[in-house]
Amino acid sequence: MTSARSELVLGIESSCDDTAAAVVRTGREILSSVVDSQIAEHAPFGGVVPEIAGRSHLRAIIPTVDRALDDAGVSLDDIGAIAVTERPGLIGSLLVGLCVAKSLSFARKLPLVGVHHIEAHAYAATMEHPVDYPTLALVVSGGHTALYRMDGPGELTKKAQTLDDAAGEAFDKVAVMLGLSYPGGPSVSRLALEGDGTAIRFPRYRAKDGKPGFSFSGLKTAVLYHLRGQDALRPTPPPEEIENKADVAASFQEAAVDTLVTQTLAMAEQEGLGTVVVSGGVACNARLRERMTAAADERGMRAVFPSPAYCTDNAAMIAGLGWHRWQSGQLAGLDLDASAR
Amino acid sequence: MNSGSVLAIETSTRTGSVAARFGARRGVQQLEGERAHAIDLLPRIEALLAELASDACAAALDSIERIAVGIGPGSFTGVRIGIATAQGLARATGAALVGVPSFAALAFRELAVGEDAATVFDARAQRFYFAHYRRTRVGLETLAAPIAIRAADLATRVHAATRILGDARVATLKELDAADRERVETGAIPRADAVLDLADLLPRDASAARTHALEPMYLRAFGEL
Repeated sequence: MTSARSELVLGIESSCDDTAAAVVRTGREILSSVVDSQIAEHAPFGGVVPEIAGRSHLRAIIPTVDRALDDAGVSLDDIGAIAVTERPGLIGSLLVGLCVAKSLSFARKLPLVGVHHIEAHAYAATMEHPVDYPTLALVVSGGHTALYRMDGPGELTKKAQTLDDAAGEAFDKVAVMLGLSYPGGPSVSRLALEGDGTAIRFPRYRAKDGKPGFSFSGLKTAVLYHLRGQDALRPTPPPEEIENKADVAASFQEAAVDTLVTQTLAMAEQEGLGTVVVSGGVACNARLRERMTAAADERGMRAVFPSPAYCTDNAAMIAGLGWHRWQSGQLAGLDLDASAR
Repeated sequence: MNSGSVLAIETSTRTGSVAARFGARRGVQQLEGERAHAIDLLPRIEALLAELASDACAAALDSIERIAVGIGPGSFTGVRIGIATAQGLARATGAALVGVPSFAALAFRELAVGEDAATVFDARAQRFYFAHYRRTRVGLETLAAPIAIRAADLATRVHAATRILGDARVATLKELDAADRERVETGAIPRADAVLDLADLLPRDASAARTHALEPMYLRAFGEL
């Protein structure tokens, strides 16, 4: 094994609706990152359909791995280890990436590393912007909204999580109410640009007993009741009959972002942490990036975001964190299993 | 044609298995239970290669020319585990990949030359997987390719078959004639050694398809699930 070879990790990610592969050197230098998105296949259903996801992953996985190797200008012979998302996610989706990763590892006698998807998201923010540990990590996406104390790459301790919906899920649901396209994050924030975020005062989650946390179910319901003219028994108007759609989108986004910023920074203060890394699909949201950065600045803290391409699901973060796991000898066997949680 | 090394994988049912042939040596191993397919498949392949190959396991794997895999119909997740694993192995070793209908493997193993059988298994959601095969002197003739149909549509199709290979659910179906219900032979399932045998019968160019172009026999679009 040459030294150059031993520094390259092939990462494979298939936990939800993106088939992804990447080649990363020494946990940081991204040689390639390929993401094959299934958004168009799930869009008619307004959300991810597990069986469709499993079928799509199987069709896409080998071409995606091949493209990642091609884009990096390397072959399987140059790879030193294989990292794969083992949890959490849709089990039928995870298994596709896992089986391919394990068989490549077995046939090529390459070390295999299992990576936790959320830990990798938190790690993603530190690939482009080195941080001093400990730091606080907010992972916010369509499936997760949680705060972690991060003591090193992949060393996470959960401090708080949403009591109900994930923030991205709330964006998806509001998008459906407003007749916007799936996924809801980009479509709601695009419409919000044309609206007034102060037009409607939607509720913000307030920390109970001084413990920061999140909840987005009440906010979603508040938007629904607003559309029904505050009469819960009235039918929800069809999207084309909603008048101030842009104001609703902007005011909803403002409330969601407000909750994320306030609770995250409150936790950072409680924990005495000066840096906040934000990742996951919702970290692409421009308003969140702007407000979190400004609010952290006011408190003498630093907010760090990955580039948008590395906020959403990708395999570069899997290969990146996989490198650290590999270097510290945390290897998996051929009996590695996937787990939904 | 039967001299090359072949690895076969069959994971469409709860009882999965792997088989291999190196020259004159053949072997088959059974997986441990349904949930374990993803966990157990590669360790079993490793054990099988160690048992059969005189060389080191890695060398044995590299000498494999074809990888045959059962593509269903059956458990969607089970078949995906088998195909994804076969794809990864084929990609890493350069071996050719061959998809074999799991029902064909079942019929091939159970039937004597000249016999025909319907293969019928519960597909859930009020559907049943059905196919009809005849064993010939040189191989297997497909009289009806696998489909997913309602119980009501099974009766006449099953009636026409000499033998009925099915599961316990099929043996209790009210929609079948009482006499046909009694003819249902339960217990037999697709096995990897039969997948291997059938792959041998397929022409070489049948495995020339690109590694990723192998689809499970879902037989149902998502909307029909």
